[in-house]
Amino acid sequence: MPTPEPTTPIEADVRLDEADYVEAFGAQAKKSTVALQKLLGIALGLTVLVVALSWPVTPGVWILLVPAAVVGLILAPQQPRYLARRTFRLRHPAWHDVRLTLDEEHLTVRSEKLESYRPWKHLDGWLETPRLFVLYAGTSVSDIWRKEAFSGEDAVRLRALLDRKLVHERPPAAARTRRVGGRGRVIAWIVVFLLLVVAYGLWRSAA
Amino acid sequence: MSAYRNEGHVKLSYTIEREDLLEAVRAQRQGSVLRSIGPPSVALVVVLSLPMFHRLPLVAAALASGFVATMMALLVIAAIRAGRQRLDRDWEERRAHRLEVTEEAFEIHDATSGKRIAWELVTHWRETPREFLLYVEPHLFHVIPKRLLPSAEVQTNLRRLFEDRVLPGGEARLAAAARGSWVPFMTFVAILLTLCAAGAEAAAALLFQ
Repeated sequence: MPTPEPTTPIEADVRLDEADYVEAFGAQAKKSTVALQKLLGIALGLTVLVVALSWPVTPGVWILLVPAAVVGLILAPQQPRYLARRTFRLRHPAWHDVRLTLDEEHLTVRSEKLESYRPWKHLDGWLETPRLFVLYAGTSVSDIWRKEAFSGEDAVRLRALLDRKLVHERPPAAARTRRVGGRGRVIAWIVVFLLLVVAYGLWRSAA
Repeated sequence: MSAYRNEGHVKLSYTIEREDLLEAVRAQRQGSVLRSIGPPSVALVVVLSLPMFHRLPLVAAALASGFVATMMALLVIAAIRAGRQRLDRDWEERRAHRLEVTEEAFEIHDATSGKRIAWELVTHWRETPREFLLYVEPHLFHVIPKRLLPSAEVQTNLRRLFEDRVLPGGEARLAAAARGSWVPFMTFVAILLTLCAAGAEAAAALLFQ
């Protein structure tokens, strides 16, 4: 089915509460949070395994790996929630109840006390949660819109517009994706190497 | 409007330079990366280094600690560079400004974006020796370099408008709300650095023992 062109601007009245921010920030951070948790889980498991096999082992910094990994595993999923609440509370309530106008050039928000417009290129990508459209710039959540604010037809037009203007789901820009992806891989390999060194060191230093 | 001035209305166009923006960033109080994460970074390096000096010979511990301190410095530099890269984004389009300040609202436009907001949405304002900084969101401010204002009278007019129209106490409220904003970043850094420290310690132990 051909996607309808947005010949007229898409308009919607958007109201947001703290729960919307928590959901949006959680969705945006999900992949990095899961990756960090996996990494910490591996670090914790490997440390415990090697120490158990090599016991007794001379105490050292490696002892801190256990609390650091446990704290990280617990805090990683909490971080987006914390950031979401802080961001929501720091913004003036007028920004949480606006009239939204979207056309091919700009994204405009209006209310009694404000009017603000930006070009699409100030944003990088978008994603969907069950209740929300979430737009982001870099790694930061930029705009959050409840789906219920859009009619069925407008939601279809909105998805088509967002697909034309932004990258769906995750990577902000191709170049940055390559850079970040490459950097992430380097960090992951360094971490794996360090873990192997730690494991070997613990095994060798078994008293 | 207070009795000590006439109705204020300032309208002007100007182009800011990158140095204006960098000066504004350097003038931030609660936003300074170094100020907020410096002391916990030093504390973290010390905490991770102490067990090394307990376990390893002096030279080995010093080398491993140096490695940890270097990694910490690299992470901080990366955080600062990320901030600079955000500043450089779409910089050319954001240089030229049209500003209009009235009793009702603050209005500013660049080549591609703009906003008009009521004064109660301006969170606070600050004056440095060379600039006025007007904050419209906690970490988003507009720079008005004084050297680009046409006269001392306009400068005074702007200052009085800001004094009169921006609600007092905004900066203190934001500073209080932003307290501890470095915690998530430092938690991540602490975990990563613990891993690095354990690796460095193990490597040093293998090399020197």
